[in-house]
Amino acid sequence: MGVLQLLRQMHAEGTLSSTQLDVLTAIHKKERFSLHYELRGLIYTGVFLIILGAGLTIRTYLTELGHLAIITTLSLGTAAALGYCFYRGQPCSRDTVPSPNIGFDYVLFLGCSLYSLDMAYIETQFHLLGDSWDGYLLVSAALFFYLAYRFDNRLVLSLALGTLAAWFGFKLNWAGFSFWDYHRLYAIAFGLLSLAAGVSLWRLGIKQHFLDIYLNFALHFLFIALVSGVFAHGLLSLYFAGLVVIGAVVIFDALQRRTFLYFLYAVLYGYVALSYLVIDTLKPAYSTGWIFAYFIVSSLVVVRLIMKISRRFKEAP
Amino acid sequence: MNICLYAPEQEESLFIRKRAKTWQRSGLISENQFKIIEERTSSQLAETSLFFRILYFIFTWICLGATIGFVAWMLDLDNEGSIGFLFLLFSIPFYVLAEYLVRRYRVFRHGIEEALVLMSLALFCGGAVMLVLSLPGHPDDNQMMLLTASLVCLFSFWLYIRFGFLYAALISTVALGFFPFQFSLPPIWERSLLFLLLGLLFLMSLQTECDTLEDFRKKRKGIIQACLFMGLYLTVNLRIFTVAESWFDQISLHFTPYAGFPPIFYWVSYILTVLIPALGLYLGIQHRKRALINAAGIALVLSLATNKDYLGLKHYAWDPMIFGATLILAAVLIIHWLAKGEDKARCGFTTESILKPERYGLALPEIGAAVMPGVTTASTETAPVVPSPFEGGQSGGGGASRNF
Repeated sequence: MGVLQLLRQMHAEGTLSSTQLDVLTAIHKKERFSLHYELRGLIYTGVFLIILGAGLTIRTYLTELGHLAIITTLSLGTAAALGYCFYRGQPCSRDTVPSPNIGFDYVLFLGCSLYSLDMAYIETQFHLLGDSWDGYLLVSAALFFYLAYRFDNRLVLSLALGTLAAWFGFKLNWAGFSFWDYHRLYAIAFGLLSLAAGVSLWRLGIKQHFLDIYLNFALHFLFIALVSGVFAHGLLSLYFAGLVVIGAVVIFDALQRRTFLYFLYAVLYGYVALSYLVIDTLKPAYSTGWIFAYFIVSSLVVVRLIMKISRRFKEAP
Repeated sequence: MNICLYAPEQEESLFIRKRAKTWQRSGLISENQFKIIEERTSSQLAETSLFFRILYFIFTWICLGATIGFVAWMLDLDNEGSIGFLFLLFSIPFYVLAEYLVRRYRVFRHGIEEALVLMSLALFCGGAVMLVLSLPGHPDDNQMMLLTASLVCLFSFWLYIRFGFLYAALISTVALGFFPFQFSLPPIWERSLLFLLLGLLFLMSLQTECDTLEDFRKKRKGIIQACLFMGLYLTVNLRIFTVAESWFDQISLHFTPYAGFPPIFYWVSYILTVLIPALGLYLGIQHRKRALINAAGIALVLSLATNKDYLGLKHYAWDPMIFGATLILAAVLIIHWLAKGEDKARCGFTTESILKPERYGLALPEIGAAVMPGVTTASTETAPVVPSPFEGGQSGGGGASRNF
């Protein structure tokens, strides 16, 4: 039975209205074809390229352009974008607020990114805040949080959390990607803060659809910090205890709320930490065969457990 | 004759269910209507969610890999021939087990059977190559590559028609793409052969389409056509692989005139980089093929990005800005043009969001936004501090010196 056949049958039985039949038939036969996400993708790519180009231009032509030109242009760009958003934006609400048009979310994102670039430039060039130079990151994060909630924008919320993470000391630097104790504790602090903020706001009923973004940030930071702590300090450490507690809470909550993405995170991070501990213990005393045996047995156990959980919760695709 | 392990009716039922779920998510049908559709489209296949599928795949893969490692360790194998033989030996039960799981438990995209067949593919091809390599006077590198590509191409194509895995079709096409490069031909012939090969497959795929085809097959074909189309485009664009360097390092490409190809071939390829995306867009719009429209759109953006490289023009730091603004302008024009049509649509095309996609927590644009602070900080941190014209006595008056 095809889609159209089924729809017609339901209509004949009276379980599908004529309007629904017409709409669904038009969508299925592609007589009504939405380019919404394609156009959003095009605008997003454009915004990303503008920010990238602005950064490159500043870096390359700094001496020719001069401070005044750069700061004025970036400030005007920011003001124009944010001004547009305040002019066209819908009133603030605790629930989801639809964007007035396709490009609105990206104009706000562009404004925030230009502001970020402007602030970073001013601080790099003039060192207004001296040793507390990273204060501009905290101020920027606060502004982005406000704008994300004011205009219901998930992109800007991600930007806010990314900026807050940068204030905590995390940067994209693959050459030095390591987790020292200093970073580890900051990552845990950031993770817990994000988790607490996300859960509290969700409980208060403020923009509940933002919870996923908080959870993604919080859980990755927490798990990476705890797993790296287990790597460094082993089984008899607070990191392992923390990992067990967080992992158990996440698995329980994920199954309760049927958000299996978090279940996946907990299982994967937990398995990596546990495997490291087992291999570390087996390696000096036992042969390679034991390590292979561990992987065979442990992976079978995990598959079996997932099967049980899957059946118990009758999870749907 | 249906070689596939799943009946077309079963796959069509799953397709309808997925559609119905999207309709329900988008508020086009009610919960009760969705339940009615669910009842009528029972496929008897065991599906699982995306995240369970990923977990099953990863842990089955770990188990299979460890099993082979364990046996190799037990038998103390240390030469290519014996390891190759072991690989070949294991590829058979893994494949058989995957078929058994599908037949016995009717699993569909469960992760376990996927891990089994992909491991089987890797072991079979890897094992055969290792066995050949262990023979005295084995073939040269090109012949070995040809053997590997042939095995991967055939095996993955079999997996596609037997299990219906789309990625198997993609692997098969990629392996096929290696063929022209193994005969020590001049680069111009290599590219031309690959173009012909992919073009032929693309045309065949278009030709075999008909209205009576099941919806799930139409969707699958659409994705394969989009992949073939991208393959065709990447074959003709001679400047594509240096685009990142030339944009972000502003390297002049004059040192490789015509990208190392004869001028006539170079300029023909330049024209094709415009014609192919245009043709893709035309076909996509004409037949309402979303995957092809997206692929052609990406190809068009890439053509614009490589335009300066083709013409040998200098890149400037502000190029991405202008390019970005152009993309936004194009999007805005399309939005306004479509919105001014009757019922906010033209020829059925609209900018309204009709079907809501499934959310998996964090979307790609949000990940991009999260890394943005790193990009902005890095771009300004490396900026040199401009020395003040009054520093160091450079603008000193007559007789003034640096150490005044």
